[in-house]
Amino acid sequence: MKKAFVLLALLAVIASPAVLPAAAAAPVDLTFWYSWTDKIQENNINLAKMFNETRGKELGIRVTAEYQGTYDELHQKLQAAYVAGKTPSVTVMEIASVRRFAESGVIMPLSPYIERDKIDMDDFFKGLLINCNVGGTWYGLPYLRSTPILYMNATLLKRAGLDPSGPKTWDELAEYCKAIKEKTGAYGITLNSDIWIFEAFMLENGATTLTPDESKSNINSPESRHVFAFFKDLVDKGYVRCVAGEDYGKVFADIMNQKTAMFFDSTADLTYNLELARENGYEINTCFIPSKKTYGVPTGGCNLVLTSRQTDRERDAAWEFIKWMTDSKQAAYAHSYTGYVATRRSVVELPEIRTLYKETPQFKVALDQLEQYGHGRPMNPGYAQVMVEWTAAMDAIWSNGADIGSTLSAADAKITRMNMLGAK
Amino acid sequence: MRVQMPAFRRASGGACRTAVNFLIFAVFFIPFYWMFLTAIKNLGQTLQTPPTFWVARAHWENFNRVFEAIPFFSMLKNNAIMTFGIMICQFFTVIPAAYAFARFKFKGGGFLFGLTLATMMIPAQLVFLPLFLMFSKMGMVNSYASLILPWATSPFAIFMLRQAFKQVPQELIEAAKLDNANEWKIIFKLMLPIARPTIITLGLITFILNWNDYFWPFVLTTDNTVRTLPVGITSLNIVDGGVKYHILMAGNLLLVAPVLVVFLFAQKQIIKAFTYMGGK
Repeated sequence: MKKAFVLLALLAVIASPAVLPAAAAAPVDLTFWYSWTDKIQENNINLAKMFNETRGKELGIRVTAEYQGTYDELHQKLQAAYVAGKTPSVTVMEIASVRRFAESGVIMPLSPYIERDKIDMDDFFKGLLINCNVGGTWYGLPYLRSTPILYMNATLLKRAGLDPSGPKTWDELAEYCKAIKEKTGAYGITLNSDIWIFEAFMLENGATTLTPDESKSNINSPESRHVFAFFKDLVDKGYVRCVAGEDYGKVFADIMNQKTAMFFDSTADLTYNLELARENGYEINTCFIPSKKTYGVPTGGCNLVLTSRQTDRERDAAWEFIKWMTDSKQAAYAHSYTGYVATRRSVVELPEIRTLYKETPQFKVALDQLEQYGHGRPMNPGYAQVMVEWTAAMDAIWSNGADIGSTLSAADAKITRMNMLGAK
Repeated sequence: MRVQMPAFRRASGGACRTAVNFLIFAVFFIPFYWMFLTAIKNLGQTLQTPPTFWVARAHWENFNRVFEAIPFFSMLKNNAIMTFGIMICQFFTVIPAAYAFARFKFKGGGFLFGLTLATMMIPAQLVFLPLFLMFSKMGMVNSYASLILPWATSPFAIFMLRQAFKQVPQELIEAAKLDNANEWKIIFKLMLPIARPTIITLGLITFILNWNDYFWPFVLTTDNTVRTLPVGITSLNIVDGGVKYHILMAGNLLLVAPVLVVFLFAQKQIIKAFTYMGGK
């Protein structure tokens, strides 16, 4: 015991002058996990680098950005890392998963930091904040967020004698599809069984895919049946084609070959679609997803969240990084670099963004739609399973001609029987 | 007629043979050609219908974009270290095991061999979480050891090599023993040369399997320090939205090129291995 004391004291003497000041000045090393490659990856790496060279340098924080696959893969890795006790400090998180990770304690509330630093939450677009909040507590800040919009091949629309600014209502949408098929031979729309787009259709009918308390699905509701019937009618008439959820790539084949005039796609794909149009010699235009009772779109993409298993020092540093990343200037950078939406009102005021909208007005459409009609997504952890059932129903009805009534009641019964939404 | 028929048959048989050969060639060649062609197209040409089988201007810059998108050469190095690391480990674990199972009668030998074979039936997905946790607790995530150790031996290779060793006539071994050869000498001077085609085939299978392995190197890495090429190439496909097929195919071409080269060199031995086993 005495020996140990002496040894410790000796160590302290040796260590104190040399090591301790150095340790205090040593930068905090943080890891930041992200999903997806290409432009998104470049954006994340560039931003982390900029942080390290500016704000990070001032505060003594060094961030390493690490790629972890798709959102699903990142979530799985985060879970495994949490069990193993080695999580990153900051990570992106798909917006519908925030509640699951908040409830299991993997991520921690940001509210104390937001209050302390007086972050102006009203500057963020309201629709983007819904999935950042769990039970009144902030768990994330909007980062790379998107909404679906309607893309149009303006060249085909003009050939069909239609207004290239696009349809405004569902009735007009149906007329457009008919005229395009009859005058150009191309499909009016190539549809994909995509629940995210269906969420928009439901919102436009004044409904949502889950009941407001998220305890039941609305798959067999009158609104849902109406959406299924509306597009099934167009598919049956040959004006619209629907490819199964798995065959997402076929939508792009139709777009490239100008076999379709319109398609629903994420705003994040704008630069990709512009490239396709340029290389294949047609014009691309965007507009709101046409309205039924109202306009309405869900938002998607990811938030930045803070993990719980780290020291206070790391956590404070991680918050500084999140705060910097979601601030106007960086949000503007991410917006113009990736095509994801502007997350804050102040972003739109910046001169570089005004110039961007002048040069590529298609960006602005997404923003206007988001500002007025943006919503959140269901956050019930069981929604993942419901999405599978819903997509299967779209495949069955739109791609394989199944009957609406029986397919939807069977899907509804299955969701209830398996208690996918965890109702008590 | 009588004279003509066989000649006709011969001729038609020859034509059939050529047609079948051509068909088989096409089945194997066209995917590679398509991969190459897509790799030099621009994005707008990748999904064109009807498909074009030639491009007027080759976009070689697609390859540069692969190099920009992923740390290609460091991933190539990692891939080589992992693959050859596994092959070297297997050389030292598989050969003695196969020899023991083939040549010695010992208590529980049948049971142990059965146990070895049974491990072939456990899918990797079943053990990955416990393995991940184990490596993580030992602080070995993002290390070469964690990529190599789970595959340091192979029940399939033990099984294949055991069969090859069993085919060696007992008399040869007796003769070697009379010449005072010990077990090691018998393995290296007698068994291995005879089983050479099998060993080369196994080496090639191990090479291809691990060179192309995606699941494990992805699960067990959280940063790029030891990530391998399949993880990098697959990441070109992991985009939020439209896939850039031309870049993806350029990456694929770079990934399979080494495998093709190795295959060309080992081709003769592989054919030998299979004809030998079939001829028995």
